[in-house]
Amino acid sequence: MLRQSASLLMIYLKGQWGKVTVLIVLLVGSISLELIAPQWLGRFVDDATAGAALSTLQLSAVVFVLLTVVRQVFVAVAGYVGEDVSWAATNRLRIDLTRHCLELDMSFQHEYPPGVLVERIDGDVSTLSEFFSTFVFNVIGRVLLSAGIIVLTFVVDWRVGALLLCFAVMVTVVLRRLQGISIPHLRALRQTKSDLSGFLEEQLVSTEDVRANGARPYVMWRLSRHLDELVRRTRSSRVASRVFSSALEVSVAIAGAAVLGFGAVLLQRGTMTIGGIYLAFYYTALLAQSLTSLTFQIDQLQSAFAGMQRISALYYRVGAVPDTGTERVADGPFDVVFDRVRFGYNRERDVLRDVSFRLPAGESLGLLGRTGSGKTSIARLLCRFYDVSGGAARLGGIDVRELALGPLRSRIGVITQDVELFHASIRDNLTLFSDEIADEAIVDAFRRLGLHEWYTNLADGLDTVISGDGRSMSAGEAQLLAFVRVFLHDPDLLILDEASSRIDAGTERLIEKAIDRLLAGRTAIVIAHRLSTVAKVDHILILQDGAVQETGARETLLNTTDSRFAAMLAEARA
Amino acid sequence: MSTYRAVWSIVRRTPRLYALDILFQLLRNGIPLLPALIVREVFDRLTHGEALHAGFWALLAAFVGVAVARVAALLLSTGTDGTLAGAGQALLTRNYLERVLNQPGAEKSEIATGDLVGRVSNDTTLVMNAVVLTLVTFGAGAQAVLAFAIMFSIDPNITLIVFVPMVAAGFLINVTSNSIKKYHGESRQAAGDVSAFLREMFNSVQAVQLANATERVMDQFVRLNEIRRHRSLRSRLFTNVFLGSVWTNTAYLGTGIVLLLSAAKFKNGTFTLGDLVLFIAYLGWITDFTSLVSQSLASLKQAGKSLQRISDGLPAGDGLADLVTHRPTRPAPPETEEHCDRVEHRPLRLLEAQGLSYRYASSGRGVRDVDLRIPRGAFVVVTGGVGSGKTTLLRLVLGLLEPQAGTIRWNGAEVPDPAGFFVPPHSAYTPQVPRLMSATVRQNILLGLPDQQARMSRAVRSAVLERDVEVLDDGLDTMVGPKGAKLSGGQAQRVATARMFAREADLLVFDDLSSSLDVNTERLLWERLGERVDQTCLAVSNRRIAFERASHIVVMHNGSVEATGTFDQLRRNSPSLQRILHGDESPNEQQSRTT
Repeated sequence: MLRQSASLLMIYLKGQWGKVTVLIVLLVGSISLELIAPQWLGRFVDDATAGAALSTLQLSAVVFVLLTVVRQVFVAVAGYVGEDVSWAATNRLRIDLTRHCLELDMSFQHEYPPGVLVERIDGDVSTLSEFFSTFVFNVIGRVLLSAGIIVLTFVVDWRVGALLLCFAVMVTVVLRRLQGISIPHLRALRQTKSDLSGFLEEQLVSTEDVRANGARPYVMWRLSRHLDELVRRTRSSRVASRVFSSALEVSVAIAGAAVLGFGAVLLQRGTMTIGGIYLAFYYTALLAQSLTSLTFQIDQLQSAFAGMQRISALYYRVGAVPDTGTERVADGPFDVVFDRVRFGYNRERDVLRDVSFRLPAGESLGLLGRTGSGKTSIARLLCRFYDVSGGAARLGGIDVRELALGPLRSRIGVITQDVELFHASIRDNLTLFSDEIADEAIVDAFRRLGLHEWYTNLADGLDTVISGDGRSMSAGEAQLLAFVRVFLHDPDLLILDEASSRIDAGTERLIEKAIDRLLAGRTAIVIAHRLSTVAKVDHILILQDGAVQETGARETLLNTTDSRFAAMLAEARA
Repeated sequence: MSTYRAVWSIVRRTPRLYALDILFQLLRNGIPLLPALIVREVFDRLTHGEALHAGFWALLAAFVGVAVARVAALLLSTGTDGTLAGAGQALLTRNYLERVLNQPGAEKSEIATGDLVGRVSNDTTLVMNAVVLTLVTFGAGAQAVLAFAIMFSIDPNITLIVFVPMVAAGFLINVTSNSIKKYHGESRQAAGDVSAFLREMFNSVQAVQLANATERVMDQFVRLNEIRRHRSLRSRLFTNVFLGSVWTNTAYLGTGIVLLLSAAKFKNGTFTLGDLVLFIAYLGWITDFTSLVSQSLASLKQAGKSLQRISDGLPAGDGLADLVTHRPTRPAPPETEEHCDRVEHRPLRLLEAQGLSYRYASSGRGVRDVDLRIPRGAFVVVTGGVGSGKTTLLRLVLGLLEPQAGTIRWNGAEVPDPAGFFVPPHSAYTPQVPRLMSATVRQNILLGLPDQQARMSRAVRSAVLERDVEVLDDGLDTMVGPKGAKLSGGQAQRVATARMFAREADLLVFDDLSSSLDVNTERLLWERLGERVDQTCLAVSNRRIAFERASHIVVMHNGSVEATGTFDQLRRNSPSLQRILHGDESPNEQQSRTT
């Protein structure tokens, strides 16, 4: 896991080595200055106690100030460059991660609801970005500085140097021991926050359901359980991330006392000056400071690691629907074959059991059955949102698993009752951000669907911005947009999954002509609960509890008096 | 309402917690002043060449003891910080959701849901971090004052001069504060755009995959990310780089001044090495404080932005004040008496609406001057084409939208607060696109109602859900997944319908109830609805089966009532209803022909 995370880091620093080099130069410069400056302080103390000339003392003071000011300039510039590098790197990571998750199959999408993915890709990657931007300075820089301090104290007196070395070694041993202490707490906090986000997202879209059914107290009660958890996790993660730095602080005090005591003894023996003691004590404080800031970074490092683990889990996640196929279906309409297909969303229960049928190219099939009988699952298998667990689905004679995924999907158009919209212009919602489709083509599609009137009423025409949660249009209007979307897409296989359920009968009839035009020369599967919707299809298939109950040409079934289909029609008329 | 008053209101919700926190802050910050006093004593003794007897070693032991005490105070104060940060976040979140639930149908601002969720979770964190930082700064301030007093007692002149550059830096930072605020706002806005688009992308995975639109959608995402990068860098340039440099340099300048001024005093013995050590140590602490001040000022300013962003996401009203001044009551657990929305039950005899009008500001559509009359036991069906205002009418009647004109009367008396009144036991509602939450089927149906066997089986039967309950993995205790994703569309709709029935309300209001049901289920649903004795219904539907059962039909067209009457009357007299039934031509087509 650690190796995966590290290789992820290297991938995203690639291409930025120029800036990274600048960063390193600034870093080394600032560390050198930070090490040299205190020497002038020590010199000042020795000169002052020895009664040197005022000008000598003042010179030391001025040099000290100059060195520190120049160093701060280095730090500031490096801070900016570091931030720049980190944003560039994490933006690329965000983008790759998003593309990867977008391309994963539907079982993944069900496992990770949008709220959680946003938390991972935006929240976790942002933590990583903060870490990136300070990592160089506060981790690598502090490590180098600490090493420099130990070397310089050895120069003052080897015994004091040895003392500080012992201190640093002890701290780094303790440090490694305590490294993981806050990870589970931080992970739990983040989990709590993403659960809360998920809950809020659900609530913000269901306010009417809740309000008009008197369920406010219930929702507020569920919220308060999330919030209690949030308070508890916030506290425990804050305390846990301080345990380690606290232990460090005590050991720093012990080291400081030891340096002073040891220095005093050496002073009495005459092997050390008082300026030397002060310098050693100053360095101890600086070392402590540097190790402390290192441990703060460890806190961040820990939360970044926790995030990194979740990110690489996503990054290296292999889809359940591998895109390894290379075949393509020949141009033009193709036939659809289900050959003893077995399928379930989990291992316990099969949604489809031994389903077989053949739909010839250019003909249409009406799928009927109770809700939950597996109709939509058939559509999902054809688009390869899932893979079959037994048997095979074939398009144009080729198993869908042997077809390249992109070209396969570009041949299929699906309209479901839930229309997915973006907070974007009508144009972008219809073309899905493609600029290859001319406005004229879009307007023409509106006209062919008889929606020209509706279109001309839009405030800014195709530039009218609609909201992503569909609040700015009715469910029926959204579905009409979905029809236009598929018109523009021009697929060879058309799947209508209760496509007109939210369009009133009048409008449905209006677009029926358009549908007829769309169906002509295409293979089509029409999933419907209304018999009127399948009035014009060539074949009928009735599903019951995942198995084929009846199938055949519509005309034949219609004229067979004991067929299930005829019975359904009779029931509907009654 | 200013940021400071808003933060003060948050503090006043839990005053004791804040008092305790301040106590711990004082301890956490006061104790670290002691080591420098000890070290000063050590250096002065060493300068005087004193022998190393027991007193000297005791000083070193005290040095370590003080560190232990400080760590204890630190951990206690961190724990308290965490508690109050979480509590404050909880307060804001709870008040936010309560406000949103109180005005459910209000026209939402243009802010996408994903952005709203981001605001509630991230911006509340930012606000409370700023509050905690302010408390920490307060402690550090007390520490700085103490340090200043000690330094002043040692050497007033040097102490005063050392503070000059700090005051200058403070001035500089105040001058730049407006730019900080502006840049921060822009970078948060860009961040909101990124997360909203990200959420929409994952909400639209299926459409994107089918259209092979991944790359195009990604282009859009890349663009938004770039904007955020630029704005964040600019914001950071100001806060971290510019402000950080000013403060740190000020501190070192201070140390330089101490060195220069003390050089002469060393010679005449009025300033000792111990004093110098103490001055340099305390300057460090005071610098920490001053940089904390700038940080917490900046973060309070950012918190102001964040609070503004959260209240912008609320329906109209005095947003910010509502978020912080309201003290939410702790909700009682489900299935208890206190749990449900309480409203005095006045059994329905007659519901009337007169002159109801509402026009959506964004689209210009809505309803105009609509009258309705629903006596007890009636079954009123509202019908009409897409966009004719059917759903808007239901929302107005239920108080989910506040009418711009018109009145609603219940048993002849005007209902002053429809939103508060139209809840069970008066009414229950199933929207056109019902939403479920990630919980079990049972929890989704009950939403906190007592779990009574009889009520549940009645509701399940009326909603024709019994067969589904049988086949679901865990029956009524099956988890439905986020947004009910594990159920089929029809199942989800019928769970929502059962939710309505379970409330056993006088008036049932439902919008396009059978839109995703198969023929048999639909027929059963209407049959079983008919079995409910004395049940009053207001329904939106374009289905013949509904018309046949209706006692009264209202035909809507372009936001107005076009015709009303019984099915038999309208079947003969209303061309609109005939079109809906037989669909020779639809209203839309007629319009496009006349234009």
